[in-house]
Amino acid sequence: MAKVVERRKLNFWEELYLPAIVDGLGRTFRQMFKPEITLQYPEQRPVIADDYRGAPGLVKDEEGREKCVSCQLCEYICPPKAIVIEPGEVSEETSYDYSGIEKAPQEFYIDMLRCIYCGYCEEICPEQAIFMTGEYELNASTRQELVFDKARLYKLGGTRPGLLKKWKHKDDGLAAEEH
Amino acid sequence: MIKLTIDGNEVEVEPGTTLLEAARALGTEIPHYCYHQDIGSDGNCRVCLVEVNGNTDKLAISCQQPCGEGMDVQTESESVVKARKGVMEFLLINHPLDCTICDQAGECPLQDYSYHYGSGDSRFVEDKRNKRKKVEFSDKVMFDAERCILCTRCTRYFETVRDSRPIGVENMGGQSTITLGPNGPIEDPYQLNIVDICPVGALTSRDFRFKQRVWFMDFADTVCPGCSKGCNITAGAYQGKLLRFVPRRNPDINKSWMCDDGRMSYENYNISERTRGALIAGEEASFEDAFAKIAELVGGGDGVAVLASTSNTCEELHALKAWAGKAGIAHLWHGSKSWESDDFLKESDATPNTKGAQMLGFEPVPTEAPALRGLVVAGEVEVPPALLANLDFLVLQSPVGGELAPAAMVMLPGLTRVEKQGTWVNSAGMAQVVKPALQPGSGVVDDWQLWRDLGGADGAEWSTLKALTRVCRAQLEGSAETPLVATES
Repeated sequence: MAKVVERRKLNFWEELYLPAIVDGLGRTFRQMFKPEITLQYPEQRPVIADDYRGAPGLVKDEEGREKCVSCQLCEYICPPKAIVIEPGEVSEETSYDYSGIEKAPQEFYIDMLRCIYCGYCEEICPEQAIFMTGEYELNASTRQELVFDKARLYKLGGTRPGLLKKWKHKDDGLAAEEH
Repeated sequence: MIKLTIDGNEVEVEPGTTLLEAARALGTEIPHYCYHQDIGSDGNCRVCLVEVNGNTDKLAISCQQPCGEGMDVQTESESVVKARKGVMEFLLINHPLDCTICDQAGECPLQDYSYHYGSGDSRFVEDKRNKRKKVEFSDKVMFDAERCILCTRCTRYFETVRDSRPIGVENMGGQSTITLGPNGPIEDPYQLNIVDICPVGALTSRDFRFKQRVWFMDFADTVCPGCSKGCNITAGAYQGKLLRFVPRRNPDINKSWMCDDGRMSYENYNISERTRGALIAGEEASFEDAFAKIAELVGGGDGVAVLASTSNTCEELHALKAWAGKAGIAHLWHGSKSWESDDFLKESDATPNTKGAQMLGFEPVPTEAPALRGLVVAGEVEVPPALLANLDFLVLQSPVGGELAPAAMVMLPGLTRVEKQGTWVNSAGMAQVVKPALQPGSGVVDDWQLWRDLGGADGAEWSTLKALTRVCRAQLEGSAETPLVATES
């Protein structure tokens, strides 16, 4: 059953309404001289924190080398199974001086519609090859456009200096022995 | 017989049995690398140490130590656990730990044992030894010297099983490495077995190399469809595509081995285009219409023959035979296919179930075949051209139509050899369970169901595959010349 709420009887000044209108206009005018806090998106951009978890991207080191060795641990850990990797042998063209490396992804797909931006891929990566970027604008007119391939993921990740290079000097010993 | 106790359990063994084998008979697993069931041990890996009669000063290697009367063996005592931990540490000192890019990861005893028996940490701060990473042993096998733990299983495989020495150990101490002999690349047709027995990722198959991590794959314990030997295998597939066959131990047939040709035959079963649904004169039709058309064509059955592939399972052949009996077809023939045999495992008959077909009453195509009005081809089989002359109609049931497709009046879908489920009888008369490694997808019916439905299922004493297998097994056992050995997978 509905509860009947007794209305308080208004006094004389309240019945006039004018004081309330003056009070309201006063607040509005005061606001006009305060600094703006509205962000004019998309012309203005928010500041993204360093550890923001946006779309994951693949990175290259400062020598332009693919970091990923396609161990597929990210594919394994990914909770929504957004990652699919086609592993393969390092080709002649992409082979660097890092002779210890034999494997590189032939293709690397991340379905950004499936991705939940948890950051597990970045956390598990033993090669520091995948990072959560600041990218948060993922629009497309078809679903297929949001399945990022290797080229797009490298574009997204860009270059990161100062990463670990565990394969770099692996072969020095053998080279010294041979000379 | 010798009596001894292992971890407090009494066991009785033949004289000459090693402690490791005796423990295995009891179900106690002692870790081992250099020992392999089918090539014996070398005693070099030292990981199978056990304590005998409380002697903690000098532990025995169980792979070489013969059992003695009244021995008291401890496999998990304090000294054994400590020694094992030490051995694991030494084995891992120069191992590169590149599990992330190693194909063996996931099925690697070095990983397993270091997880179970190792310390999980390394005290080694010096530089690891560098050796060659990519050595081509042949066009099939790649060798990585850094990962090798020098158990010498590979060299001993060639010495004991293949009686050849294409590879050996060169140099001494820390510089020891497996190397190719003076005759160049390995040419043995059974060389890929060394990839399976290698306990680490040092020897890898160049075909399977880097294709997929094993934990993403699906495995089926089945039988090699390559020839009539019936080697037991495990077929590995990823997303509906076969990636490899590896042998599965069966001491009565193939031990732990299989031939390279059989192993590589998996490629034949990754077919991209196949017959789906029924076709009448090249037009899509329902199965009911196709069955009615076949019944109309076959009529009373005179002048019609059935030619079955010997890759069909016994169940499929039994169902086919039941339909042929109902339709009044008298000629039941089986096809044949051969390849080059050798003196080890490979048989000349390149189909897996010729023996089973013969036991069920199928006969080879006669050299002077009677004049035929129609022919029903069941499964993938090479049809002799003489049979195709002067035919009124051809019914073709096969996964892939091939050259015969234009001539076929009715076409029905079929399963490839790796999709079949049922029983194959190998050349030695052993009936073996076959399990499907792939699923055929839409528009394909199991072959046995096809023949069952074609004959009108009513009246048949079998309506499920299980019941059919039972009926079929009873019939096989009744007609076997040699005792039929059923090896369950």
